[in-house]
Amino acid sequence: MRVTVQYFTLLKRAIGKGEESYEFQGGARVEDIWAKTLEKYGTEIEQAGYVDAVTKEPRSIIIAMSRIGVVGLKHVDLYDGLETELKDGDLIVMYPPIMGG
Amino acid sequence: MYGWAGTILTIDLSKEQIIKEPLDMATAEKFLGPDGIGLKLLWERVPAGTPPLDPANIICFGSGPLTGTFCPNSGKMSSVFKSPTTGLIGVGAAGGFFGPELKEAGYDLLVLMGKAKKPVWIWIDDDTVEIRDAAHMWGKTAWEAIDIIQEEVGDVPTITIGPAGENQMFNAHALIMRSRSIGGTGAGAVMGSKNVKAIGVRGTKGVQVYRPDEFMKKCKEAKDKIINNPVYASFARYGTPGWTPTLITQGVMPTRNFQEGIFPEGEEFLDPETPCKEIFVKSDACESCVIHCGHWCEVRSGPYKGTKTEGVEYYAEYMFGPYMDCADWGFIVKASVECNSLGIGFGSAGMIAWLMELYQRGMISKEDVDGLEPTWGNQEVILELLRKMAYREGVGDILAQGWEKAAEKFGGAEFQPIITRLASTECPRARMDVALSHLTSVRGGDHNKSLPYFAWVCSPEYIRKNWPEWPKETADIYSPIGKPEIVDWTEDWKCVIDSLTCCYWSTSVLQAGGNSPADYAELLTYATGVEYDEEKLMEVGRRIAVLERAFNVREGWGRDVYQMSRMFIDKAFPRGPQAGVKADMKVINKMVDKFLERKGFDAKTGYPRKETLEQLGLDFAIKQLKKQGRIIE
Repeated sequence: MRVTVQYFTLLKRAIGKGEESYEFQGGARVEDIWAKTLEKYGTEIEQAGYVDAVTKEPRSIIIAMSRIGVVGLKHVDLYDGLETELKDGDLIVMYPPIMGG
Repeated sequence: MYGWAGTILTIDLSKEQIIKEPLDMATAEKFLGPDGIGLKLLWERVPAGTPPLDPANIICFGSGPLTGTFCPNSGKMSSVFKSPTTGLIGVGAAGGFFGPELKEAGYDLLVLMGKAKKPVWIWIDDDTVEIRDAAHMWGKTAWEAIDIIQEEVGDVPTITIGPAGENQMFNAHALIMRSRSIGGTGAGAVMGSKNVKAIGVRGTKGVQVYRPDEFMKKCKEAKDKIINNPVYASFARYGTPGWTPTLITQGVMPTRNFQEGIFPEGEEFLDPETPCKEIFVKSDACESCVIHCGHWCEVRSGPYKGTKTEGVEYYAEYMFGPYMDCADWGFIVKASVECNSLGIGFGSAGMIAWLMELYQRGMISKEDVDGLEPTWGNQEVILELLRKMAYREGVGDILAQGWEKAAEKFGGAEFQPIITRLASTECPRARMDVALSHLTSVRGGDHNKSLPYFAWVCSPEYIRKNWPEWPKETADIYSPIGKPEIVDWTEDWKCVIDSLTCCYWSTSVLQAGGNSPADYAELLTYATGVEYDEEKLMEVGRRIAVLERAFNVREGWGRDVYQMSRMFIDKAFPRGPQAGVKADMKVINKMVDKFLERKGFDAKTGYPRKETLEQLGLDFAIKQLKKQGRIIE
């Protein structure tokens, strides 16, 4: 199963790249993506304030998912949050909230 | 007088009279600031059915009771008039420094009525108010007019119009200083119709607050809430161009006149880091702003090298970017400067994209466009068409008359992105929050009145926690469930914020943990001495929102005004996350019905219910609408 992750704006700056893909053998959840993000970039994103100091859960970032066959990009909270089971081809998007218009 | 300045300044241009009236405190308490007080004046002073460019229309500019104080992000201004663009209520807000300066000169509201015999500009220097000759400015660009004013009276905040306003282009904007604007609904055309080229103001009086110690303590809390919020860092660095990742990933980046929702060829251009590297020079803020989302910009290379301006933001980025198939920040700066200087709202630029689509489809030829070739991304042609619109030359004269007239000439109405009489700024096909808020917007279909941004920016958990009475699907922007509730609430809250003339970006609807209605009620109580709580404040918002919609009914617009262009209903994006999705009007119309009923209006006719107006103390509106048979008793 292949899942793509995209980072934008200040999170992209902290991480130093905008996109990467992960291969999972068998099942995986959004929390596994987050665990990998922490493993690789924990220091940088913690310093930037995007990790809860106690729980190590994401803080102040939108995590959303685009899934084949589902219209649009949705907050993972509208699925099962960090426990959402991933599917092949899922796109996970992460960025600090910001508005415009 | 605390909070409010206490005076309404009316300038009767026909009679060359300057009238200063005390602000009626009962009205101020119920309507807060320009959005509400100006609306009530518009209702009372402008007869029903008045053509928007007739001298009998009025235009109000002003600021609210927190403006001019230390309340963070309270330095905006609002304007109210009948719109020549739509025939609906024309309302708009803008940043900069004009609003606070007018307040500090001693005026809550400036009302222009009648029509000057010759071009004039208005100079307000505290108590001294003059109608000055503007013959030497007429025909100049807005920026040239500002230069002249600065030479005459010094560096003061201004409102000006460019040639587009002078020539009454259907949606010419009123330029606030050099780069902010009351845009979209033709404020500049109304000023032009009155022969008013500019307004300059100097205010030195300050604003009194009722309980200064408590007020200052609360202001500090309000500031801390903003700068400790996760949105703050992004806004401060990127400004509104930081919004593009949302649109890109949702697949709704308006591209080539909404033919596409993705713009992969502009990936680097749309990265919010790109303008930081290429054109931003330093941050810039409106009065009392702690966010500073604006930037000073300078083009450092290419054909527009040396072009400078303040305030290039998302709207210009997409309108002169993907929407016209361009990916060049130098051009974004250049086009922004041209629009502001000519007095053209960025929305008018959308007409050029429409023309480009007609050309792409072979529906028009070069001969229809004065020999110009409107191919996608043709920067030279875009700039020339902007100029032609402002000066009403050739094809520009047709476009300057508005969307309907342009379609009469060229056909292709089905490719015009009109929602409720205004060119849409976002795609309503799949996103139900966009569809409902645009379709029911009282100023026409854009994001300014009731788009519930917080459905996306704050987490679904935040919405569930704060509004447990709303359905759980409310936070799902693709579901129609809960949208009437959230759009209804947002409209009321936006009316409060626009009447307070505070910045929408600093409030809780955009930031979980940001300043809430309860916070603003407390600030208002300390500033004015009039007791407000959350409920009373939200009732003010509802009163304004209901009266705005009732104004549109008074002007002849009922349920049938809520219409969406066939381009959103018949066509879908061919690629991206929203590929294949068309606007489902059966679903959308059901949302509209439910929204209208929640608002206290009849879903079938679109008319207000008598008890709705009664409950909000809008008896004067009942009387008028009864006469017209446009009220449900």
